[in-house]
Amino acid sequence: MTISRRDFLSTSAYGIGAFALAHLMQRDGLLAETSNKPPENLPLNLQERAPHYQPRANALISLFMHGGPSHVDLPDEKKELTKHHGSEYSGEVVYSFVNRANKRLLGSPWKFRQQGDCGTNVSELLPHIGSIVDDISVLRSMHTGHNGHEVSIRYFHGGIAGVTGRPTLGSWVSYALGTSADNLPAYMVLSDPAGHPVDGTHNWSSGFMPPLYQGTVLRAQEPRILNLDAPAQLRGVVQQQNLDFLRQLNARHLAARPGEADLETRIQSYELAAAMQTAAKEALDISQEPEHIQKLYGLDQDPTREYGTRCLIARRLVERGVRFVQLFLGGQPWDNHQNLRGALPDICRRTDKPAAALVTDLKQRGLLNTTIVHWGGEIGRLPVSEGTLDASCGRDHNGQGFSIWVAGGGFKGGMAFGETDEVGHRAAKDIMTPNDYQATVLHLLGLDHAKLSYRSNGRDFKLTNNAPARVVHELLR
Amino acid sequence: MSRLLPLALAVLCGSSSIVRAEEPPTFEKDVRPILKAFCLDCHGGGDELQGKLDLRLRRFALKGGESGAGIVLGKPAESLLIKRMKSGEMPPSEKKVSPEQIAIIERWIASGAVTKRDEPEALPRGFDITPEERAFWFFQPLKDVSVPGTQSSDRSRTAVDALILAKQRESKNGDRRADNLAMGFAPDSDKLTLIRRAAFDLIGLPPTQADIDAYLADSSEHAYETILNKLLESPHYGERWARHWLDVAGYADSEGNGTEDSLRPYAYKYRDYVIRSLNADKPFDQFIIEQLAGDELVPQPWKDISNAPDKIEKLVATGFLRSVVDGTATGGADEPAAANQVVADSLKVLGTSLYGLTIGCAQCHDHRYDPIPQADYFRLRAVFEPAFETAHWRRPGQRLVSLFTDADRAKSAAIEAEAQKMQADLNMKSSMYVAAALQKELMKFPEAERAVLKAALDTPGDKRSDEQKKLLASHPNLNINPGVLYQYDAAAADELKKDGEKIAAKRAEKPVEDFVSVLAEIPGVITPTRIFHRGDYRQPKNEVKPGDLTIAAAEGARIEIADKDAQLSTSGRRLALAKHLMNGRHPLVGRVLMNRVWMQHFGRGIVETAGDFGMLGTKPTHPELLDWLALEFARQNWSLKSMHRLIMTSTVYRQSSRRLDDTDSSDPTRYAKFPLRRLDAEALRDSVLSISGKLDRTQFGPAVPVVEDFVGQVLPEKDSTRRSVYVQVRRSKPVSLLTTFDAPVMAVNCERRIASTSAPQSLMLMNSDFIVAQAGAFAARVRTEPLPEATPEQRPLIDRLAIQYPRAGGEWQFGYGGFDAATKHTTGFTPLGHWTGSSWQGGAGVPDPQVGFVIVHAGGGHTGNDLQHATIRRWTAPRDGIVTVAGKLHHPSENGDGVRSRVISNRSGLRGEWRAKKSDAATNVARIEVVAGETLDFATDCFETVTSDSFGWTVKLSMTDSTGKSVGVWDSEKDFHGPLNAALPRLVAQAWRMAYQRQATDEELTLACEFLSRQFAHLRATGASGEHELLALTNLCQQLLISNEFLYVD
Repeated sequence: MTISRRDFLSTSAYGIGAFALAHLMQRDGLLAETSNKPPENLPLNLQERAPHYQPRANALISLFMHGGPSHVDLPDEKKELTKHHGSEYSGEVVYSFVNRANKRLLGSPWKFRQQGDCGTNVSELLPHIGSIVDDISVLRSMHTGHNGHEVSIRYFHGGIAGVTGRPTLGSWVSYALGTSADNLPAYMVLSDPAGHPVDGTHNWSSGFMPPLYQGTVLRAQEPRILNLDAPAQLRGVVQQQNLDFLRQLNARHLAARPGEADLETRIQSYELAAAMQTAAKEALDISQEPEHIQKLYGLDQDPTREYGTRCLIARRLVERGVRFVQLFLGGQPWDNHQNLRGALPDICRRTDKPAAALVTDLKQRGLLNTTIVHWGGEIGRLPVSEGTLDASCGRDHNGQGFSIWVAGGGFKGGMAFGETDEVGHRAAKDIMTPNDYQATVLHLLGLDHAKLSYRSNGRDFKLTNNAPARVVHELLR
Repeated sequence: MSRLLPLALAVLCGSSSIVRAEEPPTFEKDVRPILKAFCLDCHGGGDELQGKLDLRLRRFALKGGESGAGIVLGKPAESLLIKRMKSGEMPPSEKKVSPEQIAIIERWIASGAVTKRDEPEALPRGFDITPEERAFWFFQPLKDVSVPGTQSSDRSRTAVDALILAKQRESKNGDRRADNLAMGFAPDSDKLTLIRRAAFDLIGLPPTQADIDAYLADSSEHAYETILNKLLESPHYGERWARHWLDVAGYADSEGNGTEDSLRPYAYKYRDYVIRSLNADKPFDQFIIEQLAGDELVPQPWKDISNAPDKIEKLVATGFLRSVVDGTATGGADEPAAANQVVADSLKVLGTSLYGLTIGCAQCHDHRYDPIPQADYFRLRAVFEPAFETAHWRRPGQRLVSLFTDADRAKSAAIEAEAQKMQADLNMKSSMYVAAALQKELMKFPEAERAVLKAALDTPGDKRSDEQKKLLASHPNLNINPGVLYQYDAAAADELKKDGEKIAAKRAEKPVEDFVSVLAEIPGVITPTRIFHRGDYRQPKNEVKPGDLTIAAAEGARIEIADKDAQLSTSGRRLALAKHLMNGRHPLVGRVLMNRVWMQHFGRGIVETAGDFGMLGTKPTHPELLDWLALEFARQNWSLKSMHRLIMTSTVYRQSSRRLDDTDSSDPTRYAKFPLRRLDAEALRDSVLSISGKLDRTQFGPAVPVVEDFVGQVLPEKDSTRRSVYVQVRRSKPVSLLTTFDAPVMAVNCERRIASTSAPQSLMLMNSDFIVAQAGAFAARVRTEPLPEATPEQRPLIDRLAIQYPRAGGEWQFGYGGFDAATKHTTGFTPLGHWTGSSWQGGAGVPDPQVGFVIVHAGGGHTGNDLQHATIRRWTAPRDGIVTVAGKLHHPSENGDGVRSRVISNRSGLRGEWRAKKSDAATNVARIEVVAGETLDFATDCFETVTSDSFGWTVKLSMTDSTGKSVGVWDSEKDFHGPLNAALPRLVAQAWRMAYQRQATDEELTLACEFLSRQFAHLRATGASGEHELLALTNLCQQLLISNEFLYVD
């Protein structure tokens, strides 16, 4: 209906109509503040720049839990579900795998316990996260409306469900804020030894923004960055001389070809690469960490060593000014269609201690105040059994209602926000979409999601794509 | 202000369905596409009608289903359709109707639910294609576009130019920014830019210097055409353009079956087929027909075909349909699923490569956006069914056709028989020798024991009594078998070994059995194709007959294909489809093929989404041009090379890539300048190898294996320098250098490469072993290849720079001279004129008639015959400083009177003198203050007699400045060198010409000389190991190879 109102205003008059339209559009963020001039892009570099207003946070670490963690078995206890275990659910269920659809309710096989001063309920599968509930806020009413993995992943990363080719959250943040780490990429991705996550490189794509804003992927094993070290004879002064000479060559070449953005980006990528050599090596060297810190992250134990190492690296990176660090899991270990009882404890064991350690460690260093930590998948799981309800059954996808948690950077701790329905299928109260999450995160970083835009092909794009998105102030300190 | 409005609306509505307020929405144009995307799957499109609600027509919607009327005229709020959509209840799937789309339907209902036409009386069950869908540009017949006229001022050279110009004018008229828009073309590129652009484009390598020289010298009118033809005739043309086609075909040398990822040892033949076909300019219709149905062109049985290359070629061509991942390679539990996946992926490749449609999306249900009913998908599958035959699945190994002839087989059998006979003889001989050895061994036992032992030995192993076993176990020396025979009878063992080798050699005479991988039918077997319910192969439903997509022909004229062609031994289905696709009027194929050719030339397709021309793809920027090209391709008898010529001789291709200041040439779709482009992965690697001189231009044959080094980088085995197209495409091990620069990892296929820029790319160029090694080879080439003459204009600068920046090691000269005892100075220093490759001397022979025995080599030399012919190593100080000399003189011979060595400054005279005869002497001089240009001579003479005057003398000079800081170390042995007849600036000029194929400017020469001299000084000061000049030159060469001028083509 807005369409015709706008239409009416624009066609009816030049005086009042035009003014009113401009006002409307401005309010809706369709116009930049500078009236009728299309908003210009920020300079395409990684120089640190001021946000729209005073930020609460200056960095974000996202522990992305590919596959859809089963919220009803983890941070969203559903007593009704447990009570009615095995009986037929009377409500409508949105399935993904219709061929295995079943309406039998599957109560959580795990025990829940109120923890911390706040008393948030967390299941026994997450003992360490349970121990830090006073520092985190559990958001129990996430909703993508889509059960599929990719479609919801893209919603979380790119702002529109199912659509690829858009910059990811990390791209937007590094575009808007640049980086204070002179010698590290603004946006780094820590990949999993098991390989790419579902949806592959889309997870850290810069879409229509230049590749400068694409996530830089660190390998899962040493060397985490290939070719980071120069061969012995090229190190030090020799390399400096080489790069100076290269810079002179490239500058002359560019001067004859003004306006070729690719050439400029290439020049910058050499600068970054050279500086990365020392900075990244230092940042990735966890042997500098004392033993008690390594233990905190579980580096002394097999199940947690790998993920713990990455969580520790993530902390070291934000400490050094990296804006956005995202950890992925290969494939989708949380996608427990079958054997929930076996598979879910496994992936919890791998990630629970390191994730909690990250929050604890950031806090003890005073970094939690300015660093947002995000933990969550793209969807959750259904309260009903997938296929026959038996000991080896699992749960199908659920994008209608699920949980994530956030901590630090201006988020309140000790909070549980929102609710799903009595069995945990649909978000019921204080529903939050990925766009709300994005708007809130940007807000804490000092950015107005309705203002932050990028112009490409004659159109202005925003992360939240002008969709209804709100900063969820209830979550903020 | 008003300019922003359409933008705002577009944002609000989504670009696909903008509705203007004054125009009430209609069912066909506005509403049905939404219903199709979200509802028709269950409500009218499929086999079952959910809730008895059919939404394919307005009147069906009005009538409604089990829950009542679907819509209430004029009352959107009361319409069930709207209510269900708004509540999110419908559709039940993940994808919901957006508020904007619901608003359109609301407005449609509110305005009386208008239809554009009368609705049909009857509608058969299932999906129909509406006139709106038929009206989509891509489904229109190819238009015979008349080429607009041009004026000479337009600089139009071809029809391509005329069509581009027409489009520029057309959009200028519709655009208010017209004043700022570039019209016409940028000026022609200069000749050097043009030949480089054409070479990288056509052969993926820089042009040869000879080609450049010839082209620059050719002032004839057709010089450019001549060089284009030369490039098109290059054997490298096929390698370059095959890579483009292999991307689309999804070519790989491995099966992609999980972590095993088995190799496809014969896949390379398809790759070679593509290269050869393109080199031969095989008409593209034939090229496609062979790839889709080559097997149907070669009557079975395929015996004795190894001498029929034309037959093999057609069979190999079907490798196009054997390219996708085949998970059945290792068997495994779920073969039917994996087999069906092969078919589905192959159809995807077919869809994106030839149809320009995401046909695969119609596998489970009617295509949501494009008019491809699920039945059409299976009609197409039916064409390929007899070849894939999932019901009688053949794993990759079972799809190989042997190239053995009957004669080969007979020969092989005969050789085997012979070998068997030899083996039998050998076995007999072996038993004999063993028995003899045993007998001999037995004789060592007391006679009384022999009988018992022999009885035990003669009893077969499994029949021996426990005592016998025990007995033999206590005498291990009796356990004689052919394997240990050598310990008892070496001669016999040797003989047996030789006999064994003879047998192996005999077997090696067998002809090697070679195979081709073929997609072929099983004679006499044709399994009917059924539509899979929701794409699930376990739920086959109605049978469908083979045919082309309905939408690819005029209404009612769908192309049906006969189940079985009576004339052929095969079903003939693929052959019929292939011929139909390549009939020259197929609306999809010609556009898709020419769009891809255009994309390779300009970096961007006329339709940017080269694999999807459907509703979700982008629209063509130049539809007329695309149609004209598609028809022209067929008119040119499908000659791809003709199309290259046509496009590349056009002004639009020849334009400069420089941006013009006063125009907005940033819009690539206007073609107002040529796009600057980065070399793609293969061109980058191949070009680096070509400049380093290491490129192995061997063509064809089995793929170069890839290996992982210790850090996990994947490289061609043994650092092979073959062109990248010959390096194995192992899905699980993509070559690191290539993927870093955006070469695809073949999941299915790759429709379009991207050109990314990232820090890891920079690290690879700066630090990888590959680039550093190639830079070293390039530097060596710079020094060894003949130097081009400097131009007269540049000579003064070069001479000046040569003096200012000497070559590394240029401080040393090698000669002879005398010594004036009175002044204590060197007299008559004369450089030696003959270099043997390792030493300096007077001439080719020693003694030289004039110079005598004088020799200088790295470690010392030989004195001359008299005191006027002392052997001299002369060092010239490059700057002021204090030099310390440390050295060792060595004379090895007892004969004669030994040698005498001196250090003599041309400023301060004699600084040290030593003698040695069959002895060593330390030749140290504590402190010599020198000024720039001062020389120190290290002279050795014969003393009194010239007998046995070979000597060793090495000296090390350490120089400090006045503050005591080290500024350099010289080592007479390490610094020793041959002639340095080329001045440093000439080496720089050579490097420039090799890397960039142009002359270095004066500034660049100066810049590079400064750089080199800085590196010399640094290496010198730090006493770096290795040859300093080569190190510095390698660094210079590396920077050239990784600079933007090398990575990007104008």
